[in-house]
Amino acid sequence: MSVPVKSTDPSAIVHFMNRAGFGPRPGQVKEVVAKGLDAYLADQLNPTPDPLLDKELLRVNKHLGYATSQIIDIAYKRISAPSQLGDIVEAYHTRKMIRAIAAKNQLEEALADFWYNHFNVNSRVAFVRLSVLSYENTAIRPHVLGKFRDLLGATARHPSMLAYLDNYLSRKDTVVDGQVKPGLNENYGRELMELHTLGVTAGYTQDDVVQAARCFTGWTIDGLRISPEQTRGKFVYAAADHDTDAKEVFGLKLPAGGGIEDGEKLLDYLAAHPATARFISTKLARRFVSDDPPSALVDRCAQTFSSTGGDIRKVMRTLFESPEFWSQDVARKLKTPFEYVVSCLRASGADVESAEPGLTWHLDNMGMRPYMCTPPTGYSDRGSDWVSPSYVHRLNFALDLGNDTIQGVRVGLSDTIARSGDDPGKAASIATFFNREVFGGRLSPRTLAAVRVPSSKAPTTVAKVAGLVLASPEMQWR
Amino acid sequence: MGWDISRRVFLEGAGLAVLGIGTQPSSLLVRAAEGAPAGGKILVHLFLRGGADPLNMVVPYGEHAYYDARGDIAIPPPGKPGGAVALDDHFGFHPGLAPLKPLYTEGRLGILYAVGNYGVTRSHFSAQDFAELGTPGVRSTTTGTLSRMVGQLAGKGVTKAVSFSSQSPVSFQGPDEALVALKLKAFRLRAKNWQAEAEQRVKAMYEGTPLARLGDDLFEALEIVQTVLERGGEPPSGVVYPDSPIGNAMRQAAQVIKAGVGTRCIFCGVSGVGDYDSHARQLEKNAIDYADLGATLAAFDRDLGRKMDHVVVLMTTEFGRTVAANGSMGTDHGTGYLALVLGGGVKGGIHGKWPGLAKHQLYEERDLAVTTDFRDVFAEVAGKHLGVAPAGNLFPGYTPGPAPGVLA
Repeated sequence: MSVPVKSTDPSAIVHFMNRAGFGPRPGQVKEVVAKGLDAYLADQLNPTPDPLLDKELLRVNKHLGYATSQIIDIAYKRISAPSQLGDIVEAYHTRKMIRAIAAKNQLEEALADFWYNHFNVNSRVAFVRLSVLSYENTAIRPHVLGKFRDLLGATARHPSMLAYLDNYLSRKDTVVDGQVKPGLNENYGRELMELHTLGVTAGYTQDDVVQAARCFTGWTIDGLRISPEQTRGKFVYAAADHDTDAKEVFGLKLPAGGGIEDGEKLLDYLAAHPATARFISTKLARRFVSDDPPSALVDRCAQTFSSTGGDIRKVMRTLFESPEFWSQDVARKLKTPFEYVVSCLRASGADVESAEPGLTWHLDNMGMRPYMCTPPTGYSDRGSDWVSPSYVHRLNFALDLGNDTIQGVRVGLSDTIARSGDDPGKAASIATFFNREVFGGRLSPRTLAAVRVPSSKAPTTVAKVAGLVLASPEMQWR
Repeated sequence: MGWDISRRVFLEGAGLAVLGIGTQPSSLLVRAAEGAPAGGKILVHLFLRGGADPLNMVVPYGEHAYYDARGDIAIPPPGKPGGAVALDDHFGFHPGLAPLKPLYTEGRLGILYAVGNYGVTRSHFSAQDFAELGTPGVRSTTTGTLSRMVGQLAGKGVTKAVSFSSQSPVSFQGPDEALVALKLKAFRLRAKNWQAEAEQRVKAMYEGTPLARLGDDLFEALEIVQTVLERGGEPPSGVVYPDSPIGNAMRQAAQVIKAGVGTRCIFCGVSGVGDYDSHARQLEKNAIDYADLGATLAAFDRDLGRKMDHVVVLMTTEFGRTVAANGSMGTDHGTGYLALVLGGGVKGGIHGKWPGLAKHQLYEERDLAVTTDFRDVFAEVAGKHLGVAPAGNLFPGYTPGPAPGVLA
């Protein structure tokens, strides 16, 4: 594929890396210049194995090989395992950071974050905490560049989603002693249409919500209705709880007598609906281009989405080939706290031993603790929603990172700077290093002047200059 | 919505060393003083996010229909174990709200039943936006209700409008600045041994950029938060707020009021620890959240003491919940809810037209009906308490009806 920019222009490369991933690491822009942006972009769309990342992940993987049923047993202390529940939770938090920082397949990581957030589940819910590892591994990650319908189907059946949106409790209404005993729970049916597929403005009604919920009656988790200790954490279809009457959901007619296929047919229908193509395209364009993406761009993405049967890779390609993606005129966008934190870690060449307690604490202050977004909307992907409430914490995170005082993170900037041939003892040289390696030469003269602050005592020159560079306005833009 | 970060100052998490306070009086303190006419009345809007259930909060224990509909998740009548706290022969508080009974008895707490609007939708996110914009069904409104209210009041300054929330609330969307904070004490720039230098250099970097105003406001805000913490002080001994989102928000709201920095409106948008969005196992969730609410409001009242004469707390949510229990010992998204009104000038008692719980009396045969438009409540509080002229510009496209009568 070809892109409407010069393939060896460092500032275009930085532009792409900031939007499609989490920004450059020192040394990386030079690599992409040598390779060409076209080739780098093609790699991003077609991820290949990443042995260097695999090596980085060794330190957390020993806690991440458990199936949900084993994690449940560990949580209830029914088996003795080398890992405690706390180790497992810490490991998947840390893994998210390591992957985002170290993965060569940056787009894949950005999309894993995007799709998890789109199909948000909150790990403060006890059962989600035990099953979210499997949710991310099996429902989200395999499909981030695949078919939307596969992603939708995998989330619909995953116990994390069934628990988080209460569908595991939903069953047909029954009549007991002449009284209707309600069984339906509308939560999943509503969010499926509002947040996962059609969008809230598609024009469906309260009755459509009820009809949608009826399609998923009986989609449940083994044993969980009885007690959290009874479950093995598996999806089961309880035919006896399914409402087999005829249904009509937003134009889809389902005849009486249906079973589990009612839900699957509805997912087919929703995934192929034009409103879904538009809603998903808008969200992708918002993530990768701007808060209020140009409607011509959304149109083209929606067209690709519809004509390819919801092929996410092809939609991403349409995005990257668009002039809007590359335009400097389309409104700049602020990073979310997660993007900001990861991009700072990458820019400083930092190594993450553990996300706990340091990074989690910082992200919590900024209001964006991973895996713990309470509402099913997920965290806002609008830069304008984030900039201000988190601002002091962004500055403090930058200063702490520059000072190398974040628990669980090792920065070692002096070595990194020296390896690049710059002088970590000289303020001007440190500023030059960052400008070249992270900003494609685009730091403003104002910022360059402000960050050149020599120091004769603690914090050191490198701590101060790095802290200020990472706190700079330029570092906030995606 | 365009990109505009200039109108708010944010202090999420924030306790700080003195920054930039020189020998001259700070501009901000001057502005705050200008904005603080003696005895300026204050509105605290407590917004429960998630759709708090009215029927288990103020229990219509006198109605068979309530027990028929709620079954196992009904609150028993007064006198039974776990029973409601009787207010009259028809309604009673959830036991968690028992600390509010004295306020009710003294006539300082009003309960307005069946509030809302049929255009609000049953989506949390739409309903919250519509409630905060004050324009059900219209998303394009550029200002929030509280912003329009505060804009009509004399005075200015960063603490005229304050929000305790993690993000800027839609309620304060508008042209004027507002202070948005989660934790006042955590608000400081962390630059040990080079505080002044770091501050000056950060300012220099932001000057002349699209983020400049944010930078300026940030450092001004650091200063005034210090003042609030110094003057506002801690609650008197014996007054303990729950350590919860609602408890922490209201404790800090009291701190801001006690500091006297020209505040006219405080917004606390909070989620419940148990979860107001009680689709399942509602009794457990209500027990946590309504005890939290009761303890918080009682503490707030004692904390402020006589200052409560100048304060009205208005509690609302985005929608009520289904009258009938669902299949999961919970309730789904509904329509009519209830508002609590506490403070000076409040007319105590139970207000509003009770719409009844029989099937034919419900909205769409499932939800508590609405007999008071929520905008009428805001209009009454704005007019009678804050002195905002009852002109038709408080709610675009809507002229408020008769006052529901929650204030004297």
